[in-house]
Amino acid sequence: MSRHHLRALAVAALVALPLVACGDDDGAATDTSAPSPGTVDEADEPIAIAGAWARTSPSMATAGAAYAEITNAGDEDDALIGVSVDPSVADRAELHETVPADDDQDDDATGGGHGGGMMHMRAVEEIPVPAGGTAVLEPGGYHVMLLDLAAPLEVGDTVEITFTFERAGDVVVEADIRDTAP
Amino acid sequence: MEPRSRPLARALAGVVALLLAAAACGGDDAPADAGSASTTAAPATLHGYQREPSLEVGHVALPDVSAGGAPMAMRPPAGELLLVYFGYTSCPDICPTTMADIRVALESMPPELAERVAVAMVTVDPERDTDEVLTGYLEHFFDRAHPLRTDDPDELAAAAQAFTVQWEIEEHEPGEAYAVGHTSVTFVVDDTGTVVVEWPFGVRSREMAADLTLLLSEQEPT
Repeated sequence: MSRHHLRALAVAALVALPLVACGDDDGAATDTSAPSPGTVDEADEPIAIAGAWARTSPSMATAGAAYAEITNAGDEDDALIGVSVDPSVADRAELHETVPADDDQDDDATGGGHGGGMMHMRAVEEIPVPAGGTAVLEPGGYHVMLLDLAAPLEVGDTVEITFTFERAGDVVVEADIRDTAP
Repeated sequence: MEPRSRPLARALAGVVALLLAAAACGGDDAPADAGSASTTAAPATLHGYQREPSLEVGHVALPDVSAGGAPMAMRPPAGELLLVYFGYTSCPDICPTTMADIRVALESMPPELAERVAVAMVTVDPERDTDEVLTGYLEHFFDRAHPLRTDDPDELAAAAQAFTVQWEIEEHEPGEAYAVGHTSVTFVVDDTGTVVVEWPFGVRSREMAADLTLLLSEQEPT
């Protein structure tokens, strides 16, 4: 394994570490209101999107983020290649990924001996959804970035998001607006 | 929940699990060290990491927008803790996730403990994060927090250096939206100005609350 990969791995380990720390369940005091809609579950559609949610946005914020879990029950690989929302929600939507700094470029993250913990965000052209696989959009990873929000995203509302797939075409979901992950 | 579409990530998760077994959970088999009525048993451990030697940041001060720009020292009053995060408000993913997690952690704690914890966010994007923007942003998450902002790049750089924080503004055309890469760590500072624990992105609210509760118990108000 190259040095580059080792560094990326070290960073990833630090980042991922708390996620699995001691196998805790996620019993944080989040609200556990009604199960999310945002599920498209047509019997003959290979692509299913579950648990779609967008984070509430501070009144001063111009950017928002949305997340979901995309499952491909089909036999053919697919890919999420685009995303859009109505202009009444945001000027535009893009697929983004948050990555540790060392994962996308080899600049010298000096920092404090633990990789620096620096995270970058970058636009991605597509998110693979392999046959029989799942693509997870979640905080700290892939996400839908909403740019130039038309209005703050308020808890309890929903926002309609159109996901465009290479094979499956458009899939529309209603994403819950929440303060924290479901 | 690792992204199943990314094999490398799965491999990493395995590595992480191994590291964890060796490090983070070191011998602490208690089912829950947060809030559970544990019977004075095993010494509780912190979920974040502690570096050797510890960072000393008490000498750092930055203008506090909530105090009219008066300098705020990175050293809370006796018996209290200060959480410091460097970020920016146009950040859609990491920053609001972290702020929301901190809020949930504080809300889960007894008020008499939570009120001994202050939150400060330092903007690494003062161009877009005006006083008003930064204040409004933090008000979304907290009843009271300290928006820290300086227009002096040297002052910001010196403060960031004390925390070993890095940031990098994406190249952009004037007027274009841009992202800012930044160290995504929350620093917990005690009343001596020492960083006593650091939470990388992904530490859960309940883990934050457990760490704060433990640290506050070791740092009784005078």
